[in-house]
Amino acid sequence: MKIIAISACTMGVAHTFIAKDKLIEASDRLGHQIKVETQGSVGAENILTEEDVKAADIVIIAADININGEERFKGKPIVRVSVTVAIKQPEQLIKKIEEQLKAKK
Amino acid sequence: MSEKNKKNLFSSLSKHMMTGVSYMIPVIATGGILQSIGAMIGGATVLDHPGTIGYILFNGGQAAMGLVVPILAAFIAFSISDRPGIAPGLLVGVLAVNMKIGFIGGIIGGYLVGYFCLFIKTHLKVHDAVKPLMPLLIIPLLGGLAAILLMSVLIGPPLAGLQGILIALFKSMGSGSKFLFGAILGGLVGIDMAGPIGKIGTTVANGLMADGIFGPEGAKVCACMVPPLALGISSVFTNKKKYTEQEEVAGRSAILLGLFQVTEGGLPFLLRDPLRVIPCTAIGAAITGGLAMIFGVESPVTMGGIAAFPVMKEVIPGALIAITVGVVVTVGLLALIKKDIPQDENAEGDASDEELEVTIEFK
Repeated sequence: MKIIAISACTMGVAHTFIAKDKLIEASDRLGHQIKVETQGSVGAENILTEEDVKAADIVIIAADININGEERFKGKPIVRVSVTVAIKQPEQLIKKIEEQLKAKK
Repeated sequence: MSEKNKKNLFSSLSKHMMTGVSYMIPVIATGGILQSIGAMIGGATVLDHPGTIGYILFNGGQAAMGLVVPILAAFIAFSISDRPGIAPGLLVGVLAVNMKIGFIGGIIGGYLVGYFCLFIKTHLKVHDAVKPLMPLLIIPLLGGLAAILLMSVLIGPPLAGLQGILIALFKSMGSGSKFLFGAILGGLVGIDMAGPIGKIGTTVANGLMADGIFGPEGAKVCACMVPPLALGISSVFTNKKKYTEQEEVAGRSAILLGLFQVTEGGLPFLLRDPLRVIPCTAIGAAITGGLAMIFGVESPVTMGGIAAFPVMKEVIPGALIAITVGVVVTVGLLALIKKDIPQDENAEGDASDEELEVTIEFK
């Protein structure tokens, strides 16, 4: 499964990046591909490109604030969770997404 | 309204607030610290010497502080209605500042204007030829109109009136015992971190200072330092577990901001957990204000914190004792009242087994 994700927290210096690491760790363990764009207080980093979006099976938006550039994901299946979920339960999150995507097919 | 809808409404309201706060924090840091450096260089009479470096810095910092509420209001509105909300949001914030109903006015205004713009965006159907004008002209114009009406008719006057009543009450109390006076002054500051309620107290203190009475101003300077200092110390040193990692980061800057009497440094904490934070900071700041009055602390300047100490009277030991006691009391109360935040320490696997509800939006 190809996952793309955006993480963004209120202060934009700590949680945003912890969430990114946790999502990548969990995704690696479960054998998926992932790219995470962080929208911290320094601005967006590791920005998702058009190709990334095109190739993605699922978009995870892990944010406590409103993110920038959501219109990029038009037509894509999107999951919205708080940053805390991405930090605390990244595995379960990805597993559940997988189940639901399979059920859909 | 079902339980789930209620939860969704609350979480989206807080998301909008947090979006606003995330844009506001750098503005507070810019303005507050520049202002303090200006006061440190220029001393007590910094504003009487236009053209000096201290004056330029202080003035610039003050201008930045004036942007805090407009930015907060604008980005609350932005979070709700996206870009068309920014212009009306800025306006509603500036009007709130002009009417001296600061934070509370700006927050209420930001929400109302934001939802108003969202409503127009989604419900006003126009001809395709006019569509490009919607975000450029129609929504900002109608939103701006709504902002003006809101502030000058709906929420401005009641909030300002409430403030007027409180100022009158406060002035009539001025002849009472010194401790009570200082405690009320400090308590007001501690309630909303020098927001509109705190401004009632600071306005009276500033007014009395203009009349040559420097005691209340001294109490104010001390009391204003307590909330951010105490929240910073509590989150960074004594009670880490009771704060999120984001708050711990905010705590470090809060300590610095507190030293320079930028009370707003405590706002991120207040906004996240108002019911537990407000009683602690209000009581702590009240004790500091009361003690400072008793010790005869006086200040001829309104801003600065430790930067104002050189020009204040009875700093050692009066102001130091007053501030220390207030901070210790606040930190103690926070330790008692704030709840622990569950921590996630394990690196492997999920930190929580709690059943997660995942909803995929297919479009």
